[in-house]
Amino acid sequence: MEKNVIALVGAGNGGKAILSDLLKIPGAEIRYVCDPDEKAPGIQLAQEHGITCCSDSCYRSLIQDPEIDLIFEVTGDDTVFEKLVEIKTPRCSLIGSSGTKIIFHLLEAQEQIRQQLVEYKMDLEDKIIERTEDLERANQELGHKMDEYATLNEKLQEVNNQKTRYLLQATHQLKAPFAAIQSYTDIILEGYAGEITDRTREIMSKVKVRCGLLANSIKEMLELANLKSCVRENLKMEKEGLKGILKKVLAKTNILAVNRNIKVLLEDFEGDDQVYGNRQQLEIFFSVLIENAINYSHDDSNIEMAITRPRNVLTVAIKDYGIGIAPHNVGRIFEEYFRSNEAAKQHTNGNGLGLAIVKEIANIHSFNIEVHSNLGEGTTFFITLGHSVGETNKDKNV
Amino acid sequence: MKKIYIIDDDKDIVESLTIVLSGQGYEVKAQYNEKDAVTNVTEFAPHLIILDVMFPEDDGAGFEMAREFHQHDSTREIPILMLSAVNAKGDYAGTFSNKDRDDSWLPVKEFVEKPINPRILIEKVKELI
Repeated sequence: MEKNVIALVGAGNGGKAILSDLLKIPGAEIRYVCDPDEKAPGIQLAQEHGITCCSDSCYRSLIQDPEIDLIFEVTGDDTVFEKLVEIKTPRCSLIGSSGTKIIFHLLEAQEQIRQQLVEYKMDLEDKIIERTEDLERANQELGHKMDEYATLNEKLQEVNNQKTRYLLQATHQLKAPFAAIQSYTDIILEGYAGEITDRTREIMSKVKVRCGLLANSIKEMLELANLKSCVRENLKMEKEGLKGILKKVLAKTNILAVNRNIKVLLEDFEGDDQVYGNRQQLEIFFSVLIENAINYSHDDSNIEMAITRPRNVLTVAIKDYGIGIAPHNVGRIFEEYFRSNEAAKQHTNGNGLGLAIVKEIANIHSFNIEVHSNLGEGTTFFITLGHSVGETNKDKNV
Repeated sequence: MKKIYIIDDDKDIVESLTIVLSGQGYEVKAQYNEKDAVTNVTEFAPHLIILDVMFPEDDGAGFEMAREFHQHDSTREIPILMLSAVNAKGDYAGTFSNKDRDDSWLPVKEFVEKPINPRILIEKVKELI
């Protein structure tokens, strides 16, 4: 940047003061300081900064230097000012004592502002350092807490896994003696152990029914425990035809519906939609939902099932016109062993594990389930299975 | 008289099987653990082996025994009917599917699930011998 060349005439206390301020301006080159008194305070300061000092009253140096842009007159002597008016070149500006005084005050004010800014900046920096330290401490504390939570979580997971393992062992151990009881019952009932009376047959038939219910509970406990300990990465997941799975499940559950004159109406069962998942779990998933729809329907009613693809997302809807669910119970139906009073009255043989199994399978497969229900009017389950073409729930987060 | 050899650690299941099969005129013999199975089967020379999957010492001992029978000349040709305490939805469902029923890996002809349904048992035994 090209500097403005400045000359100062008058180096008393006022001259020294303005010189001090001018020296701080980066764009100013103070080339001359003139005063007849060689010991004037401004002269000493000028000499300290290597500025040319002149004491002649004719200002020869100033006349001879055409590069001077600006002269500050600080003597307060009108004759000096007039002299300078005469000798200065036309391109050179001249500021008299009163103007110089104003500029001095401006420079002083600027200096004060600058100092305040410096103090403010330092204060701000101190505060930033302080807050950064606070944040670092908070961050460290958070890190410790997170470590503690992670350890706690691991412990909880281990306890949960242990519980699941015990449950698996216990149900396996229950299954074996139970299978023996059921085998003996069938042998007696079917006459392989000799003739039996009608009364014995009647009692053994009741034993068989109760055994069947208990066996089903054990089977579902085992299924749930297996699902809870299931690692998705170890599961055989493939693209499966949705229609095929639903038809197989419907064939199996058909007898339940027929016995109570319940019609299962299928809508939009065209197409070959694929769902990505574990075949065995998918069959259990839809079996529970369809069996529930039948079990909680009224006799002689309909169940409507539809496959839809809103915004290319494959969705199955299962709607019954049965007992429905009270609003305060809708959020609880997926809890293990939860049964509403209405459900327990309608279907005495349930155990409250079916929808807990459904929830586990939905979690494993990243399915989404929405339940719409009105007490006394029926329930609809909307199951979102993933994208219907190409991309499936395989790509969704669990 | 056709002979059937049962290997199952559950004495009640063995008794159930024995009641049904003896009633159908089969000669039945059993052992309750996996020890010396090849020697015992060779000695009895049955027409059919009924074999459980799970044993107290080893969950899958039944599978190992089936493979061992397949490796010995004296037992290779005897058909094996496997018992499973888990049904078609259970742990071993995949094991019994057609694609897995490879003679070298699982030389088993049929399986019957527990609890034993006498009519299904008799049907499957008659299919095999």
